[in-house]
Amino acid sequence: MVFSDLFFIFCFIPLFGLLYILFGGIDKLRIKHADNRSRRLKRPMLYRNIILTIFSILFYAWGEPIYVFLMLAVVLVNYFCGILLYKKHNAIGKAWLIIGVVADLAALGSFKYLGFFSGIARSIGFDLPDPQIALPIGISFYIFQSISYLVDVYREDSKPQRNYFDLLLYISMFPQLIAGPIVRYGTVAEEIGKRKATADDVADGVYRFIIGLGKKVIIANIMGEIATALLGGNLENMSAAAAWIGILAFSIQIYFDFSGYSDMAIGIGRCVGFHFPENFNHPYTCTSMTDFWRRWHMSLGSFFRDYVYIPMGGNRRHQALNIMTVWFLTGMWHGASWNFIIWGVYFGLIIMVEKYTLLRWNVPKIGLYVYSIFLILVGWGIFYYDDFGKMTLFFKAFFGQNEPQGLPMHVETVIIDNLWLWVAAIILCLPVRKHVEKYGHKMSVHIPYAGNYTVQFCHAIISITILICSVALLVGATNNAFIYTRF
Amino acid sequence: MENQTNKDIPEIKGKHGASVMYIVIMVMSFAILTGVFLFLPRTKYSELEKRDLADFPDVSDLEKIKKNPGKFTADVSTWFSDTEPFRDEFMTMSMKIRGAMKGDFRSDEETVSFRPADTANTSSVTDNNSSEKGNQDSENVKDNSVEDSQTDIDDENDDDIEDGKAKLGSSGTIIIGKGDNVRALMAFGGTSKGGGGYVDLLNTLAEDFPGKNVYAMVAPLATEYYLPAKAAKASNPQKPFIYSIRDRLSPKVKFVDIYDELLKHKKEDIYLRTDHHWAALGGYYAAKRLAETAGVPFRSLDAYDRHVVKNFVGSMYGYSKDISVKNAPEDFVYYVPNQVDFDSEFVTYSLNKNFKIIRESKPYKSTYFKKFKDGTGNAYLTFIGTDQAYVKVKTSTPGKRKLLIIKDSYGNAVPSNLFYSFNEVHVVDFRYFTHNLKEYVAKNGITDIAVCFNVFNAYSSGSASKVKKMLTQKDGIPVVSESEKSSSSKKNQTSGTEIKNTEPTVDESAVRSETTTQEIEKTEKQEEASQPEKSEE
Repeated sequence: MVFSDLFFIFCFIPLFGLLYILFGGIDKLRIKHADNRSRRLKRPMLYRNIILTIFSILFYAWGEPIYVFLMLAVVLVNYFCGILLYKKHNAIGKAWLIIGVVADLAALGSFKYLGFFSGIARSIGFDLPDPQIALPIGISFYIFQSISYLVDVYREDSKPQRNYFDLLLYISMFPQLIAGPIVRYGTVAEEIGKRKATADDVADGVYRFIIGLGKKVIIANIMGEIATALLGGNLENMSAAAAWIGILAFSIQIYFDFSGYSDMAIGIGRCVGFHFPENFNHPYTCTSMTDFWRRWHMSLGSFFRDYVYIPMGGNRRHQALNIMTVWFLTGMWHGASWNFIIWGVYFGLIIMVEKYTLLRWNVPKIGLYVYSIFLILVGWGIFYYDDFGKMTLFFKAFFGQNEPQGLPMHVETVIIDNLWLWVAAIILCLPVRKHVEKYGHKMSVHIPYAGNYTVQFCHAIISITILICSVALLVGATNNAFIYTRF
Repeated sequence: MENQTNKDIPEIKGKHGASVMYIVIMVMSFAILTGVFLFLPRTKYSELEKRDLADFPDVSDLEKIKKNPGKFTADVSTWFSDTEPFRDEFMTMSMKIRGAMKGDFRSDEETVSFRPADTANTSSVTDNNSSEKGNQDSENVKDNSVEDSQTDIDDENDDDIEDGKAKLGSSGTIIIGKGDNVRALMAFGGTSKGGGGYVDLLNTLAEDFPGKNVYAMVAPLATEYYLPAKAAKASNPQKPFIYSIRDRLSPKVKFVDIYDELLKHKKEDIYLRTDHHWAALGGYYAAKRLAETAGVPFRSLDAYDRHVVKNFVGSMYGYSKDISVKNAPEDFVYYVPNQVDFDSEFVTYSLNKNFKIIRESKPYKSTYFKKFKDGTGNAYLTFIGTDQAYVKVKTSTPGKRKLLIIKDSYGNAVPSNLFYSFNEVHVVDFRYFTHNLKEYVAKNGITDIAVCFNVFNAYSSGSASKVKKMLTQKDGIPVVSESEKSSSSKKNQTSGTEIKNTEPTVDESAVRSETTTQEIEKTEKQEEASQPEKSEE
């Protein structure tokens, strides 16, 4: 199931919402009628958590009725390892950590990378069968969350979860289950046991969810159509215009797709009292590739920083090796395909070179923007094509090696037909909304009551507009999957 | 949207109340939408897309679900998002939203002109709309241009069509023109190499029916005459294909040069702007050429009553998903012969979901022309009313010439123009016929056999092979397996009776028989895999 599915929006969410509120009431009654020493007080969210867990499992099982058991098993292994390794400052603790992490990586490796590696082995002469394993949705995300749990417990940043179902809730929580953000255990550990969703939280959450929905349905889906139309098909003699406009459309698509998903996840989380980390900070306003990766998929970046880069020695020893490892893994994480690895290494190299050149020079800001956007576009070109032949043809066109064709009709069509969408999407890549919200916030502080009501009223109008437009666009939409659920 | 959590905010007056207000508004709007989506009756058929919508997956076979639960859940999601209440309304709205995203700074003057009246009648350049409003229903029209067939047009290189607006719509469509002149075209992906099946069919017919006249009729798409040079790449030329068919036919087959005939009249309304079919007038000229080739009499439009279905928006709206097509309704004009008696006997077929015939009606008399209200989207069904039937028309025209037309939906517009020419006209759809063709021809004393296909069906060997099967098949409905019978939907089971009441049903199969560029490429690949059934679905 995906968030932008009408079935999710009008079946799953209403049902979940109703039951969650209902069982919230039961939770409150339990607490009210409990005496002071009752164990009930320790678990004030019990029923709500049960509902959330059940719906998360349903959510996952809807798309992966078989692999849901894999997820349950992974949680079980991590549950035991977490308890066993906690506060054991000796080889035993370390052993359990290693066992847990290896088990996690083995699950990831066999379900995501086995086909890839056996393909490589075959190509160098080994006679291996193709395992033909379909990628379980979201495995890259929940395995990383599992690893972060084990490491955090080992480092005693968090206490181990003594309740299997609570750990299951952390891993499987449906808002962030299949496409992140990668929530660290420490971030939500307390909120699993006790959390509060105020009216402000819920209002923010709903608004956030709807903004995300709009990003996905109104912008990303249409940009996706454009990208497919321009970047697919026969690439022989592709025009430079098609290559540029096409990859630009894809850049917009992938940003609004993924950040839209994160918004929806964060929004749903807010509504039930969780505070998930932000995942994006206007990545296309970056001034360098280093900066880009501080703004793009932040939860993945910080994961690699805290669990790979710094443990390897960070900038204190063999920094180059550390950087390249991180970027190799980043690329690899996105998929079992060479183009992703190249894509990662591409960024690794640029970031390393940047450190000694651009970041030390005094380059005018406009130059930095142009530099960054260009390299990002090239990056998405690598990212888009998992077929090398096609990638080569694309870059041939991208760098103007084909006969100049001006602005061919199909390119002109996608620009003119969606002109206002292009304008809106490009503006929304800039931190416009942030400034508007800041203004709204100021107003709500300085004008008691009226200010707040005005802001929320505007929110309501925006939300309803987006909701209705999105629903209309979703009716009859055929290709609607989120890009990042593939990884 | 990022980094907007404001943790260190002091108490702000009214924040709580405002949030509550927002939540209440949103919950209410959401509840309304949820109510619509969950509790209102679901849509079964999309008028816009001209297709049956998904069914709720079968829950009777639990074993099957257990075997592949993922497919079941996916089917439920598909069903849910395919059968929304008000689906067509929502889709229209989404097209309007897409339309609003359009930005066009070019001047309105830059349009493509198609209207023959403007250029052909140089004496009076009249406004399209006003000239058409003058034409009343059932008015006898004098169409000068019918006689005036000597108009000097040397080639299809349209110097007279301004190189105006053109853009690509969805599923292989091209939208040209602006405002009331918008015209939606279908792309053709074929080359001069295709159509072997059609050639073979015609040659076989000529062999199998010695002494009968066999005619090949291939109707080009509007794209051939109206595609601006600018968009030339979007579609392959059809002329080389059509004439390569002519060149490959055996000398016994008579080639009816529709291409040339239409070219002479391309400034008239020979094609519908918003439908994938040609207009009745296009069919009229095709019939004219057939009559000339066959050496039978043919009457000018003086001998016809002109009827109009106003505000017609055809299938191309659903295909192109472009709101500009909907905003440019046109007149659907058709011609009813008024100086000849004709009597039509119908046999209609009921189909199951897989377009297999499951029942056939008894022969019954009905009107050849069905009457449609203004604004009906499938007014092209005026002729015969369906493709799932064959019709025997007895005319008061003396003589022994009896014509059998084997046709696709393009062919529907042709036969009624031949009532002055033949004593009998039999119309058989290439997809649906339950008799042995040889016996049928012999029994009915047919003297002339024409196969009238549009370029898509002439291209796909699947269509030709269906007709070839008619040469050997036995009379009666082919056996349909039990499973196919059970899957036949309610809707189709009732369609037979609907036709009897001369209530036109929707021209699904006609729409499906047409293929877009990509599909043609697909068909080419599938041809060798001998899947003739594929081409129609």
